[in-house]
Amino acid sequence: MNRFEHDREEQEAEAAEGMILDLARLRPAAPSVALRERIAADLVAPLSRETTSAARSPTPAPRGLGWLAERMLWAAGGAIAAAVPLLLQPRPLPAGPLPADTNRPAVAVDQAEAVPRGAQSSDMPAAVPSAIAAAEPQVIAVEPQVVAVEPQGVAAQEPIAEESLAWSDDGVQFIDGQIPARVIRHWVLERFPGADGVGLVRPREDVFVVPVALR
Amino acid sequence: MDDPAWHAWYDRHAARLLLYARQWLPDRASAEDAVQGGFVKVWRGCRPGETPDVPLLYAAVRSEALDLLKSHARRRAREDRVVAGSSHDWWADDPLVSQERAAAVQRALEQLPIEQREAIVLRVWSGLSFPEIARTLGGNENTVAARCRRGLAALEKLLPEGCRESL
Repeated sequence: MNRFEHDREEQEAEAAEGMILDLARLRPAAPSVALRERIAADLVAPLSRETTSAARSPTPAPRGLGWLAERMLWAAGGAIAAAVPLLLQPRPLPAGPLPADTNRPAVAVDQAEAVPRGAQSSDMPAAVPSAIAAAEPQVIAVEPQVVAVEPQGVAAQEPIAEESLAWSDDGVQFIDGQIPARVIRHWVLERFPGADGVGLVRPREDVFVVPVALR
Repeated sequence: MDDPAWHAWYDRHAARLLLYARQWLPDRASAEDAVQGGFVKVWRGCRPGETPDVPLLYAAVRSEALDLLKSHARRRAREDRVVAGSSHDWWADDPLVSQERAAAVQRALEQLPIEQREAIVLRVWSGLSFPEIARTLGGNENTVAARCRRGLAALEKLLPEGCRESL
């Protein structure tokens, strides 16, 4: 650094100091009285900082057990309200083919009459008349008659478990050629305790015959 | 913790700290929040009978101000409107200083880059030395001095003709 540059820097520093003195004649504005009180409150109570700040800041206040219980109550109510329509919704019947291990007997059965599974195929009635089949059936009896189909050769004992396999709606058929009824089938897999410790599995078919009126 | 010593400290530094905080925060209430947070934090860290380190105090207020600025980022548009319409309340009323000149100084300061502005504020109105400013900002002393010098030169050019001669 030569002498010329040194002198120039000294002159700039002197000018800067003069300007600093001029600017320093402006005095910063004092803070509000409330600031001193807030600081005093914070220094006295260590936890009051959050309290005094919460009154001005948009952050939510601390929540307690009452708030949590109320939220859980509303959540439970919402869950129940959402589950009620699902529980009241009728269970859809399978539209596809039945499981392979259950031969679907397309037969009309008499009301309150047990029909052995093997003897059903020969009792298949004629097709429903097209004029009647096109009509919209109306269920007039809501008490279905359950016709249990007992497989042959199996001892009558209570199953320890049942497993629903499939449902089938055979539509409206004419029982004895006269009474219109809707035939619904349900295939169930029953589990029985075996004598030698090995469990037995037996399929069962339930036939629901619901009399209907056509119009 | 109601130590009377902090009152004297507060009286000496509160206005300067507030002016420093206002370099980032657009309104007076937010700047006071920053001063409150920084002051309480530093004073709590002091042992009984001990006074806080001045550069540490300014650094704490700076940190609080930056945190507040981040939390207000989503309201930036509204704050910009506040800044645009804010009254020039950086300075105390003084019959010896023209209000027009005080407002002109504030307007000129607001046009400076924040690095130069905070160096000038700390040097001129907080009365800190360059080593203390360097400790506050976490930089080099020569760098701080150069920022202050460049800022003052720019400020002189930004001030209206009548304000350059004397405040």
